[in-house]
Amino acid sequence: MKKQASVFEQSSLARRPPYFLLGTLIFLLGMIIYIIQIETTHLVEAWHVPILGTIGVLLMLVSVVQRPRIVRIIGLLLFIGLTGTEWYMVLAGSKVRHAPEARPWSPYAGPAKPGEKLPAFTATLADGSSFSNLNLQEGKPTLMVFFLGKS
Amino acid sequence: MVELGQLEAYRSDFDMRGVRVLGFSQDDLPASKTTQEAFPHLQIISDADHKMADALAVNDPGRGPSGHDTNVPTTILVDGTGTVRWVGRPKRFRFKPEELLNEVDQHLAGKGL
Repeated sequence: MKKQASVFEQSSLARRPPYFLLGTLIFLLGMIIYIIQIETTHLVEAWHVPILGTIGVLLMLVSVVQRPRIVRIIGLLLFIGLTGTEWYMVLAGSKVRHAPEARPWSPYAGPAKPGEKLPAFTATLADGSSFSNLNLQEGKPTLMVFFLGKS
Repeated sequence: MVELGQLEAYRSDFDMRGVRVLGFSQDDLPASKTTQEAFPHLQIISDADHKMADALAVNDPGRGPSGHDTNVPTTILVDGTGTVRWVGRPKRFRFKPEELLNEVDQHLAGKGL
């Protein structure tokens, strides 16, 4: 009778869906899709990677709850770390991509042309003193860098 | 203002070439003073009324981080006589200091250094 119960128990365990394996495959699916995206230069935001990673981790968690074995727990922690890294990278990347300077700039078509002088101007240095186009003619080459600023 | 930090870090390379670096933004004077303190080896210019930006066609109306006008990142290399030697605008983000040094070497060698 005991033997029968044991066989039944083993058979029941064997019939459980392989959540950990399934979770691993779903996690890897996100990575595979991302690699295909890179290879095909289809560069859209890769939200699917952490989303699939999270689904994968949740399935692994189910597996660990059902059968808490040390190897699975270690594996789960590893995949949680990887999924966290994926979220961080996607969120950080998204922030950079949506920064004002991330948009494509149109080519310069203004009056500054190589071989010509700049139009006359007067500006104010941070110390309050004046700076004009005449200051550019004092013998020292100048790199004029126009940047976004704080406002 | 990442570019200013990078330019500040490469100041010795620009000094070696005898090139001064001016940074132009449309920040007001107090904000420009703060920027100047953060990057003491650059010369920061406040173009709060964006006269320069308009004159040189680098103004980007309403596209600043807080909806104000701002500059389209643009770099102009001028030799010691005030003549423009190179005008550059990155496709995205900003030029790296190495790229700017390369342009300096390419366009100023024997021409006003």
